[in-house]
Amino acid sequence: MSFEGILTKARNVLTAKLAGEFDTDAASEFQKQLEEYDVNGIDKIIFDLSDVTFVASSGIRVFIVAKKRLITDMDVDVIGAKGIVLSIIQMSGVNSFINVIE
Amino acid sequence: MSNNKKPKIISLKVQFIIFISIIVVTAFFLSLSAFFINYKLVNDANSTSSNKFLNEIKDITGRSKTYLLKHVVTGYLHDFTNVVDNYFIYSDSILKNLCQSIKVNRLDTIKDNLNILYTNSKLNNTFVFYFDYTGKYLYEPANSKLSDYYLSKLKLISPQMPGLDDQGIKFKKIDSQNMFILYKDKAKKILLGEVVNFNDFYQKYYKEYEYEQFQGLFYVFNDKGTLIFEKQTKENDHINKAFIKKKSIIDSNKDFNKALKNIIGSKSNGFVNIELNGAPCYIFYSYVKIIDNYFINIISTPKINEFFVEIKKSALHYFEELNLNNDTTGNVRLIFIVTAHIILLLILLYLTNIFSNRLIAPISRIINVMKIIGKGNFKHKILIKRRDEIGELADNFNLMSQDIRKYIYKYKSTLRYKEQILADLRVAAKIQNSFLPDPDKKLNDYSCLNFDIYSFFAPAKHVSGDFIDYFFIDDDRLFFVVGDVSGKGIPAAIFMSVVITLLKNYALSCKSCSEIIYSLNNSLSINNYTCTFATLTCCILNTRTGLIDICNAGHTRPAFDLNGIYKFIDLPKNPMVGIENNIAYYSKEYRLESDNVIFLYSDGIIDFKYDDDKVFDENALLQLLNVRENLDVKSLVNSMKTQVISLQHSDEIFDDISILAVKYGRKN
Repeated sequence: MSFEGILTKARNVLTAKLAGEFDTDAASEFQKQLEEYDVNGIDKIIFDLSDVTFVASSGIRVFIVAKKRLITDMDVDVIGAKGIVLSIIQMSGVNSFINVIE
Repeated sequence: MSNNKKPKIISLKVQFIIFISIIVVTAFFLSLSAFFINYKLVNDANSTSSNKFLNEIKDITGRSKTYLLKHVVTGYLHDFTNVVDNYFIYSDSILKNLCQSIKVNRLDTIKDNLNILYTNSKLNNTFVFYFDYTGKYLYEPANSKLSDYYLSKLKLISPQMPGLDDQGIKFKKIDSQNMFILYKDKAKKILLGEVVNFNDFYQKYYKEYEYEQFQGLFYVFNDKGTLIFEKQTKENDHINKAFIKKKSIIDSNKDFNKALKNIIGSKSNGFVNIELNGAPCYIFYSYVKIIDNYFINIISTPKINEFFVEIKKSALHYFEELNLNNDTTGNVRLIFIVTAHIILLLILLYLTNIFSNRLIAPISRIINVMKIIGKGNFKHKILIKRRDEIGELADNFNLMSQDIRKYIYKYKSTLRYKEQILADLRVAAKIQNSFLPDPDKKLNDYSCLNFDIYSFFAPAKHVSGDFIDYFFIDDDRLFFVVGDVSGKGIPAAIFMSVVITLLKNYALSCKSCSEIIYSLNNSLSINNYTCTFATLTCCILNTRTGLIDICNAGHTRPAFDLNGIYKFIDLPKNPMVGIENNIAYYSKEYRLESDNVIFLYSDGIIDFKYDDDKVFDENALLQLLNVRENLDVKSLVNSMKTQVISLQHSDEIFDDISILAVKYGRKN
């Protein structure tokens, strides 16, 4: 299944609407997309995983990159994760660094 | 490159049009010249033979002036067949040629003595060619004279000829002695009127007709048969004698009298053959309507014959020559036309050859060079300098072949580079494998101990981000770990190498799993710009007591077979390692009984889709584990590996796979 990531900025919040399988290749592409995005004035990023069917460890790494590197100590929320996607995220323990909102 | 001025292109279409135009124009001029040369040949031949004929006629008649008439009366002619053949029938071509030069379809009168009539009244597709040797001189002298006098410009000869009015002349009788002549010159549109006295006319003009050859007797009778005018010559005495000077035809010679009786009152023109005193002669008569008189002309037959025989000879001679010339001319023309067409054809072939060479030759050269280049010899170029599409084609082809050469060079370089990378990867994979335990080899080493261990490891690419390791950290305690680095390939493999090296160190120096992972995390999270992380489950098993310390850092949950059924045991949740330092990791201790099995694995054997939409999650894994009973760890690991890989229905596994199973208890 193909992946699609759409970034929209509203005030200080950047929303990343992801859909499809967020696997290693998709993560690599999307990270590039995110790094090229103008994040000036952004202090929060929300990853909407409502339509994501799979997430690889590389995908989880993107959340961490957003948290650690895009802007230091940016608020990162992951919302809409469910089923296998949620269980993978929870298993990794990434929720220790970012907010995973069920 | 962009500054280079491109030469102006002359389109092939334009070239083609120019070539075709040249060919057409050449063909046109050749045809034209052929036509003119042919025309000249014919004309020369015609004018030569025609002029010759006319000159001969002139020689005989002694006259050079030619009179033209539109119409003639041919009725008379047939009666002279006994004197001379009065018509000849010749083929079209001969007469056409003749017609062109001497103007067929009208009467040419060679003054006074000879009328030549050409008509196009076709009889069996032939032209009829008449000679009227008699002419008006013989029986129409008065009227001819009259015509000559007034109509010389029109060149009309005889008032008796039908169509006289058409020629624009009308007569009107005023009284018995005078007539009014209305002359209309069509060309000049001038009307002339003159009243002429009959007697004055004869006195003034008759003498001009006294030609040596046709001198005869001339009489004029009125409609009552009374002689009103006569002219006699000495040469015609034998005729004169026949005609006794009487004032009336009643008194004349019997024969002559008899003939006159038929003539007078007939109101027509004609001639009769009679003998006067034993001498054959012609009596030509002409009825002049306007004055109601008859002109009678008597000429000796031998004299006429003598003239006609000469004319006939000349005419026959002319036609013989004409036929001969015509044949010769025809041959010359045929040869000329054939030659002209062969030359034309050769010129066209030559031009076509030039054009086709210009068009085809460079294409053949291009094809040859293409074949050479197709074999990989890119140094060849097409050397065609032309300012048209072919030139452009050649230039572009050269550019293309240069580009292809560059691309091939680049491709070969890339290929070499790729091969080098693959070779490096193979070496890297070997190095990585050397980090990992050999399950079969180690098994032998541990065979005497109170546990059994077996593992399987398969990278999805050449190198892997997964890792497995197990070794004794002291005499009793066995350390074993299964982990996974985020991402795949070389970056993951490098990170994995670091992880596995650090783990070896920390496992030997630290007391518990939580301490090992804490230390590992602190080491990895320093300057981890890429945010690469690892998840792992590590255990320390006291092989003597069965006490096991387990710590899971964001990794898949290990499955335990504690009472004959596989379950996931509750472990403290710890995050992955490498992101943030100084994070506390928590472990848990269990005591294993004999035959308890602990099953560790990476996420490569779970969380994949199979049979289209089913997800193979950890619960599915647990079910699969539970259908296997009393297997040794090697069989268990191999069985699970085979099962999972077969479910993935793919030639290549989609993720790295790592499986490790440890069974506690002394082996039987």
